[in-house]
Amino acid sequence: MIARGAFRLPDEQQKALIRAWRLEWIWLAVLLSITAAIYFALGNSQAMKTAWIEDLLSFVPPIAFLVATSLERREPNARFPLGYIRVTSIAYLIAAVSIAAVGLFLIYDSGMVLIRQEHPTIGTVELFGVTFWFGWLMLAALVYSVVPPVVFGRLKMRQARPLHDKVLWADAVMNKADWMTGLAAAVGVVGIGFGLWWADAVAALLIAIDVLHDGFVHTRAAIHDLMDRVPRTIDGKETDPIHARVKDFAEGLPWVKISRIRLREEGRFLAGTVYVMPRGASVDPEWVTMAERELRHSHWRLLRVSIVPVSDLERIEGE
Amino acid sequence: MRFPKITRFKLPAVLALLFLVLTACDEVAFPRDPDGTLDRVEATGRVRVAAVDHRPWVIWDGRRSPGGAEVRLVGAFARELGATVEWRRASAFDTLEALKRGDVDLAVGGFTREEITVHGGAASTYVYFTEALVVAARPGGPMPAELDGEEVVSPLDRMTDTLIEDAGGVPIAREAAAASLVALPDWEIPAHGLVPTGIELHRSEHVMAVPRGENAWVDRLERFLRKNAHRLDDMLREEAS
Repeated sequence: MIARGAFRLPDEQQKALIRAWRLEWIWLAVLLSITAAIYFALGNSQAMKTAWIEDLLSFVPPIAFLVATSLERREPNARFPLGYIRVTSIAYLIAAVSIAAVGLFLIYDSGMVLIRQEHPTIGTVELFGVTFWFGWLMLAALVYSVVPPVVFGRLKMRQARPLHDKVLWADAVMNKADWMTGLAAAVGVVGIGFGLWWADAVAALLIAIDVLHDGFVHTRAAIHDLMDRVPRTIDGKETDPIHARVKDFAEGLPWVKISRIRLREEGRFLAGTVYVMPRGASVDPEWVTMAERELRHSHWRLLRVSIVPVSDLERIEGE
Repeated sequence: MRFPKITRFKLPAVLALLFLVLTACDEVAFPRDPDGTLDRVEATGRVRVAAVDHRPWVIWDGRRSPGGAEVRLVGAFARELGATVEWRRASAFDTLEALKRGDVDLAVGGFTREEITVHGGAASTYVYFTEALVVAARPGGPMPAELDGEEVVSPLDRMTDTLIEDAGGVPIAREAAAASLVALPDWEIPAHGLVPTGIELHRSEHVMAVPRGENAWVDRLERFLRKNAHRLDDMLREEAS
């Protein structure tokens, strides 16, 4: 089972991981160019500033992904006998909390602009001998910042699903929603142009609320994972079908009468115990070993699942 | 917050449409002022300008209206708008406070961008003039590449002692001017018949102060400055002499 690193992924997952790595590295470069473009077009717009901070924030999930995927491969050792696979769950929590924290800050920041009634000033700029309103440059930068995330978001999502990588997934979801940020900021800048000084701060506030919403959803999901919630599908919408499959497998064993499944997510993998009540009075340890091996081979995510025969399932906690 | 879903293909179209609509608006009045400063100035033919005594940018000589390089620029700007200037004499702080309240439309007085930013209640134009404080030498005298214990004349009114020390020089008062080096703004060099040494002590980014958010007003002023501010070197020399 254990070959290179602490685990071996099937070919499909291995390929997806390599593609995801490449994708995230390219994305970091693209993101750098976007944040640079927005930075130089920042001006006095609150919405632009908020969009820029959100762009800066977008660095956290890709970096968390790259760090976590390289750490999780480490071999178990005396200090970490269960290996490093849960580092992905922790990376997810870190990314999620940072998003929520920045969302709160941005709400405060743009709220203060509204309260103080600060009118944003946008002057002119001279490029290639032509003088024009700086707002146009802001809009150009925003248009540039809108397209790549949408494209990359889709590409990342395609890799995140087979890998069951929540960091990558959260990153992709944020990217896909990024065009709304760009559009909101653009509306703010155009609003300034029309003499609606508050449009900018209101746009910034909407972006900030969206950031906070993202942060909240992901923080909740990350905490639930660390609390060993029943595994969910990657989009968090339903219980992972693998749960039912494990139960079917266990109860399909000739020597098992009924079972109770206790699975949890450890990074992209699943761990836990399948409690079984045997039909007969005794269980051959060989049966258990064989069944465990078969179960682990049935799906790559079932990395650390053990089968435990018990005489009374009622004594297992919970439903 | 969730927006209605627009497909990937419609998005660029929406943005392009938005851009077209707005470009069309540019012909009308874009950007606009939240408080209508430009419209008011054009309608009433009066522009209220606060001017801080700061030679040679603004010079109050006990007359009712000031002189100075920036005063001339503002006068020309007002003529372009078909307006007359109502000058108000005030301190720098009062001037910026008046801008914040909306009691004046424009303020001049050799302001640097830093001053406006620190005050926080007013906006600045783009940096239309950068004044470098440099070390100049008498022709034929020594031309050091950098200051290393050299004596540099520090004009009292410029308060440049520390800048000279930071650059490695020794500041001396004008009265003891036996030294051949002098610290002064680059535009003054020709008038004194000196030669630049290439040593720069400080840079001031000069701006005018305007009310915050009055973007049509700022737009109009900046377009004027971009056309006319290149003559500022000459104006400063004329006013200083």
